[in-house]
Amino acid sequence: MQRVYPRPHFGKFLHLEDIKHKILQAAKRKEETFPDLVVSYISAAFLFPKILLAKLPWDITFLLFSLASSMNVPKVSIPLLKPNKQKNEKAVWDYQGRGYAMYIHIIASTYGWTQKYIDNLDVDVALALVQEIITDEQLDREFLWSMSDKNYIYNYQTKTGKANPLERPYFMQVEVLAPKKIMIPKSMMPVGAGTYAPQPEEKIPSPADLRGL
Amino acid sequence: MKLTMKTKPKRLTLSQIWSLYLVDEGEETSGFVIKMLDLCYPKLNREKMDAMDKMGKYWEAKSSYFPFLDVIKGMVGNG
Repeated sequence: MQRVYPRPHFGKFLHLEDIKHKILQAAKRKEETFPDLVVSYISAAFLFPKILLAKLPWDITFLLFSLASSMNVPKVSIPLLKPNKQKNEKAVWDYQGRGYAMYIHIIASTYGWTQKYIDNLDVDVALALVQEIITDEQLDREFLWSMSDKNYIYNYQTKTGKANPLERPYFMQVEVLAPKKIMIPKSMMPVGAGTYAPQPEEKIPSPADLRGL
Repeated sequence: MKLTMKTKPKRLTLSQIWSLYLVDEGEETSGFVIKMLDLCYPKLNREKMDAMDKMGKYWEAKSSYFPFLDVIKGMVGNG
C-alpha cells in the first residue's frame, strides 16, 4: 500500500483532515454535498481525476476512502489529538480553511520556517512540535499568572484564601479517574458478627386479604 | 437488452445511492420505492409490471442498499 499511496506529509494531512471533517458533518446533516466531498477526498489523496471516481460503484468508492483515511493518521499517540469534550463554538473570526492557516502560523512564528517547508514535514513530527509550542506558551502564561494577584482569591468574610490557577488546554488537563478498588486485609475488618442494617420485611398476603379479589 | 425477472440490480454510484438515502424516511413510501426501481433497473417498464413482481424487484434491490446504510451509520456514529 505504501508504494501505491505514500503516507501524506503535514500539508496534505491538514487538507485531507479538513475535507474529512466536512464529510462527517455532511453525513450527519444529510447534506447533498456528501458524495462530492468523498470524491474530493479520494481525488486529493490518490490524485485520481474526479470524473473517473464519480462513475465507480459506491462500495468501491468507500473502499478507496477508507484506504486513504487509514493512511492519513498519525503513528504516534499525541495528547493534542485527544478528543476535546468541551464543545467548541465557532469564533466570529473563523473562516474556511482556518485550521490549516492556524497550524502553519503556530510553527512558522516559532521556528521561522516557510509554508513549503512546513507542508513537507512528517505528520508526527509536525504535530509533536505544535504541542510543544502550545505547552511552552501555556507554561509561560502560567508563570506570569502566578505572579499576578489573580492567582489567589481571598474571601474577606471567611478570612480564607484559595488558589486560582490559570485554566489549561484540554490536552494538558489531568484526567479524573474512577477511585481504585482496594482490598481490606481480614485482620483490619471489625471483629464479631456485626449488626446488619434493618431490611424491609416482605409482607406475605394472608388468604383473608385475597378473598376480595 | 431485454429485461427479465432474473436481471440483477445495477450497482449504484455514490451520488445515486446518496440521492436514494436522502428520500429514505425509514418506510416503504411510494417515492422511495419508485426511485429505488428507477435507479437499480433503468430499463424496467414499471407501468406494465405486476405489483407483486414490482415489489419482488424492489426487495431484491433493497438488499444491496442495506450495506450502504450500515456504512453510513458507522460513519455518523464514529463522528
